[in-house]
Amino acid sequence: GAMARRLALGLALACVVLQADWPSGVAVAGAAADGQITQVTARLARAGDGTAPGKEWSLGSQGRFEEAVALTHTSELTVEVEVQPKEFVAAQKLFVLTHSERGKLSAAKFAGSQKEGKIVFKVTSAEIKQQVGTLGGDFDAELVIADASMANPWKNDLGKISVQHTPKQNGDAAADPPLLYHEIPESPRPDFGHIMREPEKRPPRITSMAFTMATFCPLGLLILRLSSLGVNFKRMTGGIFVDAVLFHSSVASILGLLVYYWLALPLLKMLPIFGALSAAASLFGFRLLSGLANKDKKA
Amino acid sequence: MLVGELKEICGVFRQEYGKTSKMLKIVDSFVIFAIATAAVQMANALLVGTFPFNACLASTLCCLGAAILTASFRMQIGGGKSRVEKVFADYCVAMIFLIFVSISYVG
Repeated sequence: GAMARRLALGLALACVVLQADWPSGVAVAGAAADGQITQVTARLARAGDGTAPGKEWSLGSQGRFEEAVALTHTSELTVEVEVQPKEFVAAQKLFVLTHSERGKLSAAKFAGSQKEGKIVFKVTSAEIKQQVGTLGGDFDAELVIADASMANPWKNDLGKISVQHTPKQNGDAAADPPLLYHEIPESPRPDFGHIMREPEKRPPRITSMAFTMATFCPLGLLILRLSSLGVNFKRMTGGIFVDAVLFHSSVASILGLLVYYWLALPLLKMLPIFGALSAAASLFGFRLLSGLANKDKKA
Repeated sequence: MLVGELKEICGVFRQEYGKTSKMLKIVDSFVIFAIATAAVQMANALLVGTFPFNACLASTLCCLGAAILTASFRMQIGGGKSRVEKVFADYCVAMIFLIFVSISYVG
């Protein structure tokens, strides 16, 4: 009650006097202002055996791997980040592996542990498998160290890490996991084979020729029938002979033009000629039929 | 009995058809020619196959279309109400367009 009120008042007075900031919402134990990253080292060795000889890199504070680091299912990658001062404890310590092809949707994140000024990340293929499945290949590695007390968060692109998961029993590499639903629109479509329709069965040439000849038979019968009926050209004589010849010639020309159009001529070239011949046929036909009508009237 | 009746019907038909004008007989012959050609092509389609299908359709429908247009022409001139010259001009235009569409569809 009264004691607590006096304590709070005294604290507020001290802050005003000393011009100190109010404490922030999240208190970071042992935080020191302006933590600096001074060195990044990496070590690739057999998994579970800290003393086994391995490959080491000293990358400075902004360095990156010159070539892709091969992380197999039997090895472990240890990345150590030295911070100054040693008392600085960063709130956010992340080692992020983003798949080079699938992007951010296939990313594995590893939290680091900090002790005595060193932040340590341990990366194995088993832990990557837990997060993104048996997705192998090149991953882009990135270190992120951030804290509210730092003027700017520290990020470093470490380069590429090539991950190989436990192979299958037959020796083949582990298969990539299927695409997630939201990855599908951004990924290339799988190849598919075209299924062409089978060509239709065609008859022998002689059969086709036989039926072509058979198609002309009704024409022959028609000509015989017209002959028996006594078809003649007597009405084409006299003054309308020229109009009759011109009309029938123009109709025959139209039919010839249509055959030429079928064989070779494009539509847009045929249409103007068709229009001209149609106009001529209309004119000569009108003259012919008018002449025939007048002839019938006089008769 | 039935055969006898059929014979009688055919005889009467032949007798009455003989009175038809020559021009109508010519037109009737052309209708029968068009239908017969279409029948031959349909027989080819049924017995041998329809390849190429667009050409099969175009040729058959062209023959049937010609038969229909000619039958229509025959109905108009047979009725005696329309002038032959006017009906013939319509018939020519319709036939030319039918042949143009058929050739376009044959490909």
